[in-house]
Amino acid sequence: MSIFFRKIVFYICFTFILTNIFLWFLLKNYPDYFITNIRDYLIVKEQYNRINVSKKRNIILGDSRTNTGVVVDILGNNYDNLAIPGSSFVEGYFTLRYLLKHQKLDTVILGYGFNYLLDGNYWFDERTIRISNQIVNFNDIRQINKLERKFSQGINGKLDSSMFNFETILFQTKRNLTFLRFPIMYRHNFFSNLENLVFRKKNRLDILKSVEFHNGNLFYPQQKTTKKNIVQENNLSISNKIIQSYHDSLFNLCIKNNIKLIWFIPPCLDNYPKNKIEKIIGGRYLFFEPLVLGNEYFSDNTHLNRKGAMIFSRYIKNNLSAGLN
Amino acid sequence: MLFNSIEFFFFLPIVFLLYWFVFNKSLKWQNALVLVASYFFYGWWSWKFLGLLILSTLLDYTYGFWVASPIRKKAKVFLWLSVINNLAILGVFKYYNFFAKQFQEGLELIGLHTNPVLLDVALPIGISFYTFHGMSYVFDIYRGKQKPVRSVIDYAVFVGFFPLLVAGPIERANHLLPQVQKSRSFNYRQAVEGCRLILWGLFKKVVIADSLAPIVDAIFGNYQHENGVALIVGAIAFSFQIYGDFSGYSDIALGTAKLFGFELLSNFKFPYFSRDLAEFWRRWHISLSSWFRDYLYIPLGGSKNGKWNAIRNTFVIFLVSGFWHGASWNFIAWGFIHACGFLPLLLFNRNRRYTTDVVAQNSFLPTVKELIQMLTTFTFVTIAWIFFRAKTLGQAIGYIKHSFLSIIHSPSQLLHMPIFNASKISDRDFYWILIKLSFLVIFDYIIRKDERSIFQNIRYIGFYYVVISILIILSMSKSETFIYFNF
Repeated sequence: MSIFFRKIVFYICFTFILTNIFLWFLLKNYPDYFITNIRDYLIVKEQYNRINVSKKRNIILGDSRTNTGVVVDILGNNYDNLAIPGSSFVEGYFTLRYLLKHQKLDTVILGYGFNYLLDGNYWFDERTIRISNQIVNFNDIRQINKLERKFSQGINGKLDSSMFNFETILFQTKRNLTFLRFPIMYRHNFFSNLENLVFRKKNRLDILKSVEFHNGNLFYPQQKTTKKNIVQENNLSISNKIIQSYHDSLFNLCIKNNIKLIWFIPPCLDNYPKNKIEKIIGGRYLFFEPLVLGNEYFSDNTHLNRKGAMIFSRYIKNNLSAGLN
Repeated sequence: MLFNSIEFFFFLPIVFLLYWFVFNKSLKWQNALVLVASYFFYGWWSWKFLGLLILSTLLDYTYGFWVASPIRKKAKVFLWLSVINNLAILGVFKYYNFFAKQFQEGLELIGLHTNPVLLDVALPIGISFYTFHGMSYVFDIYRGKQKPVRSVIDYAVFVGFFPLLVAGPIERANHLLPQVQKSRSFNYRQAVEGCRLILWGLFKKVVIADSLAPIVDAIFGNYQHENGVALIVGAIAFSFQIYGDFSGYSDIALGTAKLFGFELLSNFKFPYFSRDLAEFWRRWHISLSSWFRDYLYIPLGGSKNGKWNAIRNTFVIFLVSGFWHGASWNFIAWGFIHACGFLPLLLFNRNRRYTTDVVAQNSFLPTVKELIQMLTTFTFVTIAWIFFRAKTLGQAIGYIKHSFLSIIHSPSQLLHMPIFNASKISDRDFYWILIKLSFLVIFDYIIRKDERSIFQNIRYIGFYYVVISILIILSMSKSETFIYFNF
């Protein structure tokens, strides 16, 4: 019995350590391929680098819809588009806090989809935790974990109905280990990433070519979508209390630093839950309903194409010059 | 709790240590621990439905005593009551909605509109398996093959032993109960064999089946937009997905049981090397096939009362087997197709040709005849799997029709690499499928004569184990459920 036990323990430990060493080597040498998938890494990392060097006093925070939808050249050269694909008010708060350590800001334009306040954000764990350890620290992660346990709800919107919030605790343990760069937590999509590294190295260039970085904007190829917006009101039955709490923190940070805050909901193809959003905002600051644009202005079912981005940017500019400034 | 989850990774060693180090002084305590662990394992999924499992267990335990009555009439009445009870549990939770909808549609045909009340409850995991355990126990007592068990804990362990609780193998009382009642001591060889089986099962599930799942889902989900060859690839991929998934599960179950000193019934014996459909059913989900043979086919008369009775009984067991898998017409069609495939074998008395040996018994490679037989059987089984995988009967027929018409319309596609129009499967994904399937087929072929020979005669065996384990860890980024949990 003891021989069996010793052998099994040795075998499990040996395998585990070997796997970690293997993954650690890959993460260290090819972070763009293994931190998450290469496309996400390159696009999101570009924006985090941009946050590091931003010196403008008027900034735009938002998700990919704002990143692709707001052309800062139209707004004026005193604006910076710091929208990060897949981010929500949580990352918005952290970004603002990070920027305020180094500079003063006058205006913050938010460009987040309303869905984050209601049904959560899946990308927090897939991208923010993996890529953004410059603006988020471990205490922030612990704070989010605490809120998730308090509300029995994940930042990704999932409700925990298990005993002792076990699912949440398990999920948070994985998240903490991921944030701390524990190699085995990066085995997600390992085989497709390895395949990209070995067989498709040119992918890196293809990706950078396929999206055009323009002053903080990504431009997706011009194409007309035939699909409807995936965000439908009837999907949004639960409010995400964690993201709402960070929305409030972001608002309070702006008040404290005397920053003008405006929220332009990115354009969508459908109607949106106006009453629910107004209730959350509580009339504390200005927000603009989404422009409802036709299919020809979208490159897919959520992101504007270049034509749509021009229209949305002019819409923001018109509203800003009509008295908001 | 899933075998391929992080929870099970902690659960198994804890129970193992308690079992052999803390509760090893008495058999009663060991069985009590196994029962508590099994209920915890099940309750992890749903505490509510744990009550149903306990109720089903207590009912069959009680019926066991009544059916053992020396008065045959009384015993028969209780036997039927037990059958009705078990079928009622299955009927309510698994089949009620199906029958209610069929009833409604039937009435609508004659112009009557009804609005039946449908149950909005999830299918309790493993319900088909544990009710069949209970039924086999009561049947065996009625037939005098088994005596009623006095200890309710022993009986509950037989029904609810966690490795087999949710997806089998479907055990027999006269096979497992004596093991539950006999004291067990740790056996090094058995435990090592158990670990090997767990590892190999995880490999089949996590590395093979789970990687095929998104490809199969994509092809079946977009079958209207795919060409014929792509649909053939989808069907073949599902054949291996379900094999990897279910035989992987069975291997883990058998391996886990070995760690606790139990030997469970074998469920798979390389079914895709079968030379006819009868052999396939002696190698695929063996515990279910033999259950139907012993408790349905033989009581109906089997093949004793002439050919036509044998044909009728064969159709009955295949249709019931299809319906056992799911309350849907496509499962019934799947059973019907297999019964039709069985028909020529019955008519020409060819159904017992391959009962003991395996393909290429005395050589390494199969003969041309054997190869053709294997390919024919595999093709038939794969076509039938389309009905099993499809969500509805219409989708299955549409899938087959679409692939057939596409190939008729453009036969040249058979000479080229498959083109996946809508499923977003790249050439490289396709090569991966081929590599993985080739590995599985070649490996299974090598060990086909003795499944215990997995790695036994390979040099540097530890190295292979480490490689396989690393592959499992790297592939296991999230716990995919097992297909047979749905049944």
